Amino acid sequence: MSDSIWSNRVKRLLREMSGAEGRQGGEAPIVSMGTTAPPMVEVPRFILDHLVSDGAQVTRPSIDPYREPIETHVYLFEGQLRLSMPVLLSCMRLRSQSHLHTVYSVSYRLGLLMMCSEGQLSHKLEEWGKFIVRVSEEKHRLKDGKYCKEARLMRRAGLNETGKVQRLAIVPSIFDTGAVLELVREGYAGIIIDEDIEGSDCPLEVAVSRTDRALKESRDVAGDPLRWRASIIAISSRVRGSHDAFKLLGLGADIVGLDETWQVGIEYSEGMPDEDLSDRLEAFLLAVQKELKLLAGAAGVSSLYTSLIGNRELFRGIELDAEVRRLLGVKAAGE
Amino acid sequence: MSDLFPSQVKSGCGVFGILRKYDAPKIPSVIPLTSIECVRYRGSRLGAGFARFDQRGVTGRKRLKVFADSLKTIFALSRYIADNFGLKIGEVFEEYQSESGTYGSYVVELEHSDDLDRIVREVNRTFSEGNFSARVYCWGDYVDVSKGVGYPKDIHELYNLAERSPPGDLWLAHTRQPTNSPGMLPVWSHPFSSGEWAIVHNGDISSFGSNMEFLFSVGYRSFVGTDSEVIAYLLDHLTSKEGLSIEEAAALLCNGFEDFLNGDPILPLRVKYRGAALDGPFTVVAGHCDGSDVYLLALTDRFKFRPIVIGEDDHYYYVASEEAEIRAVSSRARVWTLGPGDFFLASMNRGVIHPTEQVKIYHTPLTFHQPRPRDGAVIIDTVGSDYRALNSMIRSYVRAGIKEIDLVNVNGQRYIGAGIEGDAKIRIYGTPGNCLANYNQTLHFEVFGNAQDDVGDAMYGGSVVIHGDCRDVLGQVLQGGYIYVMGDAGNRCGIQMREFRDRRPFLIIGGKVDDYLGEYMAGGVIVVLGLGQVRTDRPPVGRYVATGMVGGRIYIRGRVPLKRIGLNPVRADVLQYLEGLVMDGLLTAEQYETLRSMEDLSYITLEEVLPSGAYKAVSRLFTNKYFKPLRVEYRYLTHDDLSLIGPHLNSFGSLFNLTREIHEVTSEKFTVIEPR
Repeated sequence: MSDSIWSNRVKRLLREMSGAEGRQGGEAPIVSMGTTAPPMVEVPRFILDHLVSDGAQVTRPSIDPYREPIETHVYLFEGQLRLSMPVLLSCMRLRSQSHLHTVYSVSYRLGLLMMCSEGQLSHKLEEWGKFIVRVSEEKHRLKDGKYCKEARLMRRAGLNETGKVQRLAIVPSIFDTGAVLELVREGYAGIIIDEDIEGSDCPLEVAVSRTDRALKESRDVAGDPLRWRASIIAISSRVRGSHDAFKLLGLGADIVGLDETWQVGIEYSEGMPDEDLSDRLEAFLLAVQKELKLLAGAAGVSSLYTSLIGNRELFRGIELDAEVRRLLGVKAAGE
Repeated sequence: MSDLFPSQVKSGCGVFGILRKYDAPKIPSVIPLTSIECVRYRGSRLGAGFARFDQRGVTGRKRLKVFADSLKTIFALSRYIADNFGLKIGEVFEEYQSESGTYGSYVVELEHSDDLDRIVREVNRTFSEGNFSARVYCWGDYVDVSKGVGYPKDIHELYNLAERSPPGDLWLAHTRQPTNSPGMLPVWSHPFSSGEWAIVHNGDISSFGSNMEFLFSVGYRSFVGTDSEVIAYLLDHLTSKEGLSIEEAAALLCNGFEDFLNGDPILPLRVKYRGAALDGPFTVVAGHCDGSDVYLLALTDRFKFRPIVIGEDDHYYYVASEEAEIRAVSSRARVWTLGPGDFFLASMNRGVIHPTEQVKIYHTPLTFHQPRPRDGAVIIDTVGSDYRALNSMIRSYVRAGIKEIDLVNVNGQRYIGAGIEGDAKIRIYGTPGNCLANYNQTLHFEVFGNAQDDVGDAMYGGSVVIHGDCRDVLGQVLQGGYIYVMGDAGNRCGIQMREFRDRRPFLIIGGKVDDYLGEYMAGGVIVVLGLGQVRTDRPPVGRYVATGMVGGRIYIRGRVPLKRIGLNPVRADVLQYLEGLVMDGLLTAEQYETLRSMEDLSYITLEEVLPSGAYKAVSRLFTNKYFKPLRVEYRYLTHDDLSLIGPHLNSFGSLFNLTREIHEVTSEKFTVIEPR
């Protein structure tokens, strides 16, 4: 699946963002209304392709992110961790220690999460580990027979800070939300829904939206909705960039994982020099941030954290089955 | 006829709120009616309404106010409450009757219940989902909402408020211009009420979906589908169920930019109740009574995309979309604007609760000169005159060669002078409406009073002199002539100003301005003098000064922190980046600590203090392909400066009798901003 989603058009735009192609990295590529993006010209492949943003109009003006503030930061774990943007870099397939260090340098500077497995880490990274999601290989059986893994964020937080260890559960993209509710009740501070892992039985879009709603409907012992203390991170190798991330945030994800897309964007290769990796990745992520701001601004939204996450009202479905729309909580275009 | 073919002057909704001071007389319904009808053109036939608050209780009995399609439905609803919640139903009567295909308003009296909020939600879920037959729209003990489909005057008559409604401690009024939701049913009209709250709203909130999700998470299931309704629920839920103070709830909803919160305790609340924050354009006026005091609350969005003014006289506090609404009922009120993302809160017993500091800082009254209309000038009494008739008269006189025209009793007439060519002086006594002197080329206006929004838009020449304050979007695309404002001005002043060859516009503001001064500015000169401020340690400008500026020059008295100039990346992100440089060995921990203690982390400062490698790296956060660096200097005015702005400052001083002040100010330091 993953090969065919990287069309030449998608690859070119992603590479422009990193500076691997084009004149200036770090910028949002400019396309026209004549873009061939799905669902109108290119064949829509995923639910995400059938979702469009219900843009701003005269009574709710768009916001120009180059001259006016649009906030992309988000908070996790009841405000204990601030990220500059709702993005996680998945590095599970990276083998080079030096590349891992470089990616983490960029993550740390830009204040966003990096995910890798426990075995990949060097001691040096642990010293500065507040943005590392470290995935344990050990599997835990869920009630419905599926499995989850556990991930942790480090205690050592960075300069002058000592953060708390946060436990996250990594679950497949599953329709039934019962197991997730159990995990949150057990004390997991967040749920990583990873569509690429074994046991996924429904599209990520549906799993994210249903998990968000289920956590809002269920209460903790204090009577507050579980969602108030549990974060949702959505990961899939088919997330193609900020437009997909923007829609997943709208469906209820707090953070969206970029996996293959950043490697496509910077034309990653195992032999690439660290300096190129650093320059291109930083440019790519700053461009992603600009795109998120442009998308938010076009919808009249000035804060991703307060006004985009879970805001299904901003989206409409085109040629999307009524039952799927019901599961997502999204109206049809024109509604 | 005029209602059938309404005026082409259309606008956003009109809002109004009035609160009495504890020793002032109660307020009859004619006051909010007079005020809101003054901006009838802001609304349409598609909805209006009033809310009255009375600290002694509006009826003394527990009651629901319900819109229903028939009396039969009301009886079914009463039975439903009795059967499902075991409450005894008292008298049931109609306020106005439903006609075929329409909804009437009914009152259902019932015994007390501590669980009334939940009961109302269940009733509304049952009777207003799917085949909509009824909806409870007001159930507080101290608030009485009267709303429907029509203009405010129609609703006032429909409910016969003149005879049936006793004077209140607080009134809200609204006239509606529906945009994103329909207006043919009374449930969509404002005010929206929840518990002991009622609100009126002008705007279109983009956070609507997030707000619904938040309310969903705390148990709300039934909505009529307008963004305004959720604001009433949010205020009620946060204050009565979550235990937040009104100030906390207001700050949460206003959603101030994180970068300017400076450790404000609202941040943890925003994390906990994040779906409660509002985004997108809004002006909200809310009323609340907790049984012992009555509160008037006004909120505006962080960009201030909608107009709002606050007023105060000896007896009352006012909130309105336009100053003309306040002037229609109080000629003596002091009127000022609300800053972007801020809120105003006053109570009957305590007076102004927030923002007290702002009121103290900025509102030292400047001396107003109110000369009478003079002999030799043509005098036009504008009472009852709409702008077209008024402009038609002005045009005739100007064509006839009249050089001086005095307009008296002006209140809210828009577009004065637009499209009129000729050489004449127009003196305006009162409060001109929005869009004064738009496209002006040759006329000279002098306003004895405050002006409203959008003065001098796309003005090519001539002049505007205002002996008072001015509101938002002053001098937009000003490209010739000059505008002098003796007092303060609002948000987005001088945006997109430009010059061409010898045509260079001047905008001089005597007091202070709010955010986005000179945004996208491409030419001309802006001077902000900061006269009349009690606290001279505060710059007389808001935030985001000169963002996107590519030409022209701005002079601001005093030192403006660099953080307020241009659009900077969020401080927390800059610090995070610098911390990353420590991790990579490009900065030492000591250097980082020094930087962290600095208030200003603008690119100008970082360029000076960082090693070149570190600066090159972090500068990526500040720049983009549209970025044009600014030159910002804090200095005494030079000979060149004085030859540029001196003649205008001298005219400004003599026009407003401020010659001494101008002389003193020009010897002080200014922040001078222009593109590099």
